[in-house]
Amino acid sequence: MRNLTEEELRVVFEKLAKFIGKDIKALVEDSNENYCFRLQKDRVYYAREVVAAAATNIARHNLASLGICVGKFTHGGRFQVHITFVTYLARLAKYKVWLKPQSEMSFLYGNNVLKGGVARMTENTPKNQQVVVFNQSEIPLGFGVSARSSLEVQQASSTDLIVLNQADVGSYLRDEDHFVGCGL
Amino acid sequence: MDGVEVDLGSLSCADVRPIFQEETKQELEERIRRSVEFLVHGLFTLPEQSSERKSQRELPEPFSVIPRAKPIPKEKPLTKWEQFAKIRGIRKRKRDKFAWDEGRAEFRPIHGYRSINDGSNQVILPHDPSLEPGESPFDLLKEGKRKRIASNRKNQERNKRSLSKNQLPTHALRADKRSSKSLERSAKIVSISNRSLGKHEEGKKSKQKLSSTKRSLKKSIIPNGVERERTFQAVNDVLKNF
Repeated sequence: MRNLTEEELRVVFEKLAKFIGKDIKALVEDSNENYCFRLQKDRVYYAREVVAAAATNIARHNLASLGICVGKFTHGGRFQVHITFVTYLARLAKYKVWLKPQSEMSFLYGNNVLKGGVARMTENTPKNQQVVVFNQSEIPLGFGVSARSSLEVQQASSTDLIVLNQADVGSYLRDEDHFVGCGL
Repeated sequence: MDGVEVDLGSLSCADVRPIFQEETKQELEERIRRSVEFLVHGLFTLPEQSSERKSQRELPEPFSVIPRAKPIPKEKPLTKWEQFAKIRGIRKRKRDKFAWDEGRAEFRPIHGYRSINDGSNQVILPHDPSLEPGESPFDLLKEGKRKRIASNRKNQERNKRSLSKNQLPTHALRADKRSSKSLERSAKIVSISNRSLGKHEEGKKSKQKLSSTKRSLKKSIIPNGVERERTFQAVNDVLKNF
């Protein structure tokens, strides 16, 4: 476990800013407790400083996880957000998509969202924008990229793709191996 | 000179009068200025040398004793040749590295690459009656050089091994390519590499311990305040371009 370098922090925040915009400040500032980012085996964790300090007592190869997993750095140096961080993203998300109950299941199996399945969508959503997907009872199901802007959606046919699935909570079951040591 | 000691040889001067507590910074600076004045004045009193450059003067021998900055280097153990030379009373003569080559009409190194005696690019060799029929004198030259290099390398290795105090394993190959420090370390590893981890080794060996290089946590974790600052900096950087 180690701190993130300035370069790594920048990459992480750039990615998160695509979801929550200027609210990335809230992740660091707006809380009674101080939070920090830690890197362990290529994965970035978001943890309270108390937890992070306690975790220093555990040897590197023994430490499975701490706090909550934000995502991981790929070999190419890019940063991928994991589904584990969806609760924080949902709380601060700028652009949201709500699904109809009948298309919920399809999304949770890893499929993209068609127009027929969209109940509601944040206005002025641009194209290729990171969006967080909810069901009707405001439970975050995952996130993805908007394939069309909210204006284009109105003209789209019911089988057109609206949101491209990047991660959904169904992957907790589908890719169980992937989440070992990921804060579960 | 009024409480100022000037050593022109080492171009230094010192105000030897005691310093009182109530002296201000200005007064101290005044002292410095005064002693430097003495130094410069002293320089100009030296006899001028008659040369093309006008203000050339020869400094006298310095008399102030200055302590050594670094510790005196440890004596290295003598190499095999140095030991032999000491017994025989052979002294090192200083020889030129280059010599005049008559045939090529230029200066050439006495030893090594492109040296005068380098036979490698000789076209004609004098006849040697001791040669057997079919044996090439050119190959013999090459062979001789190869052997000399090999034996020299062996000697170098031996000297290096005596530099590191410990007995080395016999399979320490190409010791000349490794530093004596790393050799010493491998010698230590070997000395405790047995079933009891060196516990029952006799004598000096048993006391040897490898200095462990444990990674400290302090290096990988920076203080919270610094980290928070760094995080805010990164957030602001991202928001600037947003």
